[in-house]
Amino acid sequence: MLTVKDVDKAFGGLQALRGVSTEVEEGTITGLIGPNGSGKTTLFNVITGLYDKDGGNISFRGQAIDGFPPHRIAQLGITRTFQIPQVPKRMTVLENMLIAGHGQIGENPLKVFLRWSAQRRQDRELVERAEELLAMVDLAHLRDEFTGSLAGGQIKLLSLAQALMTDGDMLLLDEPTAGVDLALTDRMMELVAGVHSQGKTLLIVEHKMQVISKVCEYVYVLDAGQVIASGEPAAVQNDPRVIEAYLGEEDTAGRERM
Amino acid sequence: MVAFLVHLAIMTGIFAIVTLSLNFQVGITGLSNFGQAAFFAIGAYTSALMYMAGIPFVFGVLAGMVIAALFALIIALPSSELRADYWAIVSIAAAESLRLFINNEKWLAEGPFGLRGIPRPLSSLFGDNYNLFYLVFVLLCLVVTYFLLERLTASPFGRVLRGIREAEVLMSALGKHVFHFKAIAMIIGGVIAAVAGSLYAHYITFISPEHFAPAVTFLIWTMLIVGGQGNALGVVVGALVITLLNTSTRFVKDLLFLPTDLVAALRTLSIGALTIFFVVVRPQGLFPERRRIIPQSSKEGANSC
Repeated sequence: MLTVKDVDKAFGGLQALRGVSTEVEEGTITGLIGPNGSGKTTLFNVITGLYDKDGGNISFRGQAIDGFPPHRIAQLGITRTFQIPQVPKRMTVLENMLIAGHGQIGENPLKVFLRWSAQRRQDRELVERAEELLAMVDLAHLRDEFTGSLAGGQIKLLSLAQALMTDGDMLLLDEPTAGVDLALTDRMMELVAGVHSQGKTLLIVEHKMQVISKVCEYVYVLDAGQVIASGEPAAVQNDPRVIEAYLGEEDTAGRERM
Repeated sequence: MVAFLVHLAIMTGIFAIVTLSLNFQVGITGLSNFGQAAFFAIGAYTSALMYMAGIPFVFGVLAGMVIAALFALIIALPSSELRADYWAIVSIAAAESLRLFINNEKWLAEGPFGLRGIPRPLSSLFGDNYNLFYLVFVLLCLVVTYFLLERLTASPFGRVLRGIREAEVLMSALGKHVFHFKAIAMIIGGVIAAVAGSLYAHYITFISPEHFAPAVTFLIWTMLIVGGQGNALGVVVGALVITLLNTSTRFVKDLLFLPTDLVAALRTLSIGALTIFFVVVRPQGLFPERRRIIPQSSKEGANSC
């Protein structure tokens, strides 16, 4: 469904991605793991058009999306979340959900004053769907609060629900459990599994191996901008290179000094 | 006294319209536009020049709106390339370029001498009661502007603008063409400011480049900051407070027998102090932005329809 082929990306002298190739099959949950600074978020930014890549190709459902601006990629059905959620704080939780709806008639300022009934119908459908999703992520009671008054974990949940509002077929989740307590981590993974069972294809960035091995069918391991291993979680976990990359994380400081 | 109150109300009305337009760009969309005086000038000059050339008032106003829209589009162009603060510099530079152009091109509108004796539309009809008529007209324009912008702000379009204000990257990741929305917000704000400019020119009957100096933009910003960014009602109150301060200092002069320059300086000083006070102590303004509650979709919602 999403094919990344030989993608390179450098920031000045730092080679953030080096010939990265990944394939996400339709209907699967694929994990992307690796230590801090290994290029996971960079890869997300390249896929979603936020960064221009230096080389390689990316295609979605067989269509090349190289050079597409972020909003076009999103409109094709790839929705991403951010490691640090960027929700507008001076909008209510419900409004945060509604902004994610694609193809709203009332986004055209002229049509705001025409086509009343079609708009009202569409808005009602959107509100209904938003309320369902908010109930799903246990935020229904905060519907009309400013998002700025939410706690960190609640904002993570809102981000996930917001991404689902887009109706995109593919979700890229950037560390949905980062900075989240244990109970909420379990809940988040439960939600992710639920989303998957509804037919969405997911690519998830994580660096907690346990979390990934619970939900993912296939895993890519990035280290220093390169894919060092891929396969089923159990197999990858025992791969010596992966163990080194992960155990090495504690030694990294020492290695860098050398 | 009544004459003064009518004057105060007309000026408040005109400035409330400009401040509402600025609020749409700054308070709703997050575009730090420091060139609003230029749109005010475009409206004022275009409709004054066209009316003086014998073209009906309405067409002059419309022409001003069209030119303002084009100017807004030009200013909006670099908004996707530049960070917000750098773009603010672009907006003030563009406005100053336009003002200096008017100042230096004598053939166009008498350069620094400005346009004098701008005729007032329908003046023969109302005679001595003209200002009263004009007040009603200005307030009508204000009410229309208010509800137009409020409707837009609450609409899906306005939601996207408010999303862009705080989370531009998120909005593009959600499939919104951010530049497209920013440009439209600039155009809507610019066009409305131009209408206010037309109202101003035909009321004051004398305009010169001086009337559209950056200080005017800052005055409008003060109204916005004091009133409350993102709150349309607050913005109107802000316009009232600052206009009151700006026009009533003449009474202080008469009451306390102070020299004119001192009063002018005190006026600027008091407005500056007020701005600083609000920025530091109450940045959300007199009336902070309020939550927009959307009715439930369930049965209760259906019944209320």
